[in-house]
Amino acid sequence: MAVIEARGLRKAFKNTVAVDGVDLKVEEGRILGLIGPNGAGKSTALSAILGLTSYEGQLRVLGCDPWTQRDQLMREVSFIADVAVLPRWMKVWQALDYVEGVHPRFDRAKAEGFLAKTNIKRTSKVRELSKGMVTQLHLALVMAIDARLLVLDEPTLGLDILYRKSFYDSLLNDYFDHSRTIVVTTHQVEEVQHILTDLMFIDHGKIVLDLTMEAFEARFAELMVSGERVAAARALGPIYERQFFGRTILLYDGAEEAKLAQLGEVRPASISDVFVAVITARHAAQPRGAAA
Amino acid sequence: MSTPFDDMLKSPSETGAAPPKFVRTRPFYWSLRREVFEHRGVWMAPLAGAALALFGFLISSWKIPGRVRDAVADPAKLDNLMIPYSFVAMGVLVLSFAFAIFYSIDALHGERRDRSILFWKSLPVSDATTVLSKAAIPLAVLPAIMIAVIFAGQVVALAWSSLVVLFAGLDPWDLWSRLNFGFMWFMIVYGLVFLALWYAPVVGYLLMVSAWAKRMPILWAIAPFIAIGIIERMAFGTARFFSIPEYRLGGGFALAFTKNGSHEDTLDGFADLDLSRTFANPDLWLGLIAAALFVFVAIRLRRSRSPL
Repeated sequence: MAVIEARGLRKAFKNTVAVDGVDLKVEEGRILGLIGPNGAGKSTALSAILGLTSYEGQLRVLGCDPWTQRDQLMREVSFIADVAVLPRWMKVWQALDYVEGVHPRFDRAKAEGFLAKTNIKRTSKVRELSKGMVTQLHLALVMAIDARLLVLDEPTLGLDILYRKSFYDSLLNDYFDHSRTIVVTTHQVEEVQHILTDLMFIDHGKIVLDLTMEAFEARFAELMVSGERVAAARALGPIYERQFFGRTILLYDGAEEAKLAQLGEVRPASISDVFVAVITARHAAQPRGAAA
Repeated sequence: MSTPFDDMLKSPSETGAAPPKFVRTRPFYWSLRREVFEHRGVWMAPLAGAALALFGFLISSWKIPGRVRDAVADPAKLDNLMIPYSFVAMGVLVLSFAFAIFYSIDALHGERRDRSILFWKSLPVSDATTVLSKAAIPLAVLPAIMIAVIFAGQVVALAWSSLVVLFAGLDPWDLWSRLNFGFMWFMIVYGLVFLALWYAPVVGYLLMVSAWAKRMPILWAIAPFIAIGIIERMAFGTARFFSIPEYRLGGGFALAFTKNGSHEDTLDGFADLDLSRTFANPDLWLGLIAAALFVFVAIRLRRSRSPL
């Protein structure tokens, strides 16, 4: 059974269609990155998956309808919506007591173990903690929940680069195992590239790219050329081109690596470059607004 | 360089901690605890009310011996002896009432304002459990605390008057034998149970507005009554609509504590009491139906609510 399965998922607000007929299937043990520009519908799609918003179309998460069965679903799903949602009045011990009291899969000893490694005091209020500490606390609560699906919506927003890096490292090394599934959205695409198993681009409420990371690496490549070879490189049909210290970097979708290698240095494409290429091409072909 | 995350997550697996054991959860109980964590006013408001009344009683201590002498001489003045104890109950009632209003109108708005609704909704607690626990705070938890605080406050008042009477050279028995606590304590428990039921629709209405309004829920709660009241006044020159909240807010006391619902004939003893009359009052039951409707709407509203 797929962890998340959506068919024709749609969510319209008064003036916009945030999610416009999305088909989606996420299998167990995957780490899916959901990437899109602001207002693309990422958060709305996640809200529907988490039972926070109503929707049209079919959606099953762990076999539940999230909209009508949110409380059941949350026994097996954890999410960090963003870093600022822990109630500011709450004390750390109150948060531990409360989550232990309502969550059947919460392992208090594990959460206490996490907290013991931080400077967070049991008697502190959330409002007295630094932003990084609040995230640590939230993470300690969430990671101590034995969930089958973890949804992270911009989990590292507003955190400095050290926290961001170790956040994803610990997510991968200590939390993730192949019975869990993770869905993450972020603008810091480079930081998640190495942890993802699956990638999805969403734009104007539609999925514009959906593939595994192996497929991504096989399909996309970046070529760095200089001088007279640029014309030859352009002849191979790059999807995107930019200048870098007098050299030209071209991005190819499905080009033969052997041919590229004759012209210059070939490197794996980064998600962010492919993202820019795909989205720019879409917006050029179909001006913003027309899609809605 | 290492940051706390590096270590944070390793130890349990390394130390071979026991696998998580799944315990039975009590979402409703913990939702109540959660409310009390956040709103210390649940017990501070009644305590403050009792403290205020006791302070007033303390600075008027000089009146006590006179009242005892009057009561000994003239049984008609017996009621004066009970005044301080009624005051404790009144002080607790007034502040708790104010707390209940402000609590109810903020209960489902505050969690959206501070975005914490996203945290609450990430846990396996249904909207029904959440809203019902928020309704239970003013309707069950608060009255229980009020009863305990009133009782404790009156014991303090009694101890203090006994001391004052003793120092005035009177026999404390003259005081004790003339106090009618049995009836008063019965009235407090009965009154609070009745009032909680009577005010359930008010709490339900405030919760519903609190879940609905984007900003200034208290204004939205009052606005319809004022608007319809003004329109009715201009159109028909009457004020029938406005009498609905007026009756709901003030009528409960009259029903509970008087012989016939008017303000004059207060209950003086068990003989005056007719519980079948108060609890069979159709307005009480109509109010409870309205309360159930309001709470139902609040539950449905909360499901679709996101941070403001």
